[in-house]
Amino acid sequence: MKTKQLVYGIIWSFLYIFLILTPILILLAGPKYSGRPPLLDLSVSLGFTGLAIMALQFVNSARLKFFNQPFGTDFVYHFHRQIGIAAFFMVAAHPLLLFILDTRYLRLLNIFTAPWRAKFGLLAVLLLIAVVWTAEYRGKLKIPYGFWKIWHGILATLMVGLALTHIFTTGDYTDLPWKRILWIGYTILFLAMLAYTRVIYPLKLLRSPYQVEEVRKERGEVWTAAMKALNGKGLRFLPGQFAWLTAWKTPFSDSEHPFSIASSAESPQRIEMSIKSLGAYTAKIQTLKAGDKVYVDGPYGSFSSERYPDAKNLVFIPGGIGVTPIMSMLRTLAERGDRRPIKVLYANQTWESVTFREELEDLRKRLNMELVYVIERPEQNWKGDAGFINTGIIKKYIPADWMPDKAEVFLCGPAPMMNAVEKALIAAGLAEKCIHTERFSLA
Amino acid sequence: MRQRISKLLVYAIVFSAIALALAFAYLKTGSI
Repeated sequence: MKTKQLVYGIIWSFLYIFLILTPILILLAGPKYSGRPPLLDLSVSLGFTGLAIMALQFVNSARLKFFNQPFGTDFVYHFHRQIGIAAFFMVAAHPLLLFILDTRYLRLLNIFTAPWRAKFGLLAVLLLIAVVWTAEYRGKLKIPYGFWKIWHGILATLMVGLALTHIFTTGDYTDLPWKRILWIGYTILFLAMLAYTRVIYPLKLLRSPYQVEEVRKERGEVWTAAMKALNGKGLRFLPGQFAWLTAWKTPFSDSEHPFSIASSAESPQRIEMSIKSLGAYTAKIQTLKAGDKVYVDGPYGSFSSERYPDAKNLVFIPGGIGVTPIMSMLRTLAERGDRRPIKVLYANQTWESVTFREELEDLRKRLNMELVYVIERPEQNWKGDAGFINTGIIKKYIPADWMPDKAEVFLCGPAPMMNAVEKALIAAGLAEKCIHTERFSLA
Repeated sequence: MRQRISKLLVYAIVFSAIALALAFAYLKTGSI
């Protein structure tokens, strides 16, 4: 399974790079133009590449399972962000190089007097600045996730539409039929992705609703929503994967939020999501009532012990609410009667806020599992480990003969904790390839 | 590690694009 995924990953990567570089490759293969300033060609090539990346961003974010699976959804989203920033600089270089080439191009910045082709280009660049700026600084700008997500999609769609119109109305580099075919192809791909993500896929979700069965309170301001599939099929998932939840609205509203599935993969008919009250949306989860209709889109993600069936030993390191995907793995392993040695190093701020504390005690008995709590701010009578998970704690609980690659380690928690623990694991002698992480901060 | 791979992929794309763009600009206009 791993080799197959790797092969697909390599194929998709090459295909993606090829599609991005095709506009320049086609220009390179085309006829030679004498007398055209090199800076103009350089400017156009970078603009083309930037736009090709932007058009393909819709594929990245479309959650196509065959595309996401080899990489893992968090990887695809990180890549989406990083390549988006790179594309921003490439697109920005397009007008900047033109201004360097000839200051008369600066006149095109006047939106009232500029020709339509320049107006389209200028508006596209302004929208791109808005898209990247709000995505990068959403937290600082205090834009709620749901609101941002909707506008990110709308602004990006307008931006790519305007940029494609800019190319067709300018026409200088689409003089040959195959160059036009290329950009028409990109436009069709872009429109197809839009139709798929905004109409076809939401329709599919609308036909497979879930019903809330119960909502219960857990320790640490966490609420668990249990949901039953109404179509009878349920959700076949790997323990540790996540799904997008739409509550109170239809799938067309684009108001979904990603949450880990915390229940056992052995019960696909009834799934549970345990959600910590961190923001406006997550705080609202407790108001869900039995009988409410919700929509679940999943499963996604590659964070699962299931992907490593040959692992001799398993280590789980959750931090705070990062315990939810790990609970799914532990519950599944327990239901299957798995007897492999397991270590759980569970980091929390206080003992009182340790979510699933009681159930973990039960799982300890059912599994061949050692459970260690590391409390950041312990009470005076706390006898366990205190502070943060560091190399010392890792060496204390993970046997030396599990190093460097006799255990698969699953780490999920807040980003600073994950960065620190990842470094500590490597310092303790664990091979990097044995560390599996899930990084999300979309609350 | 996966984040590093993602970054490497981005760098690979950016540098190939810049190299190809430079190649196009300077080979196709007859300036050099």
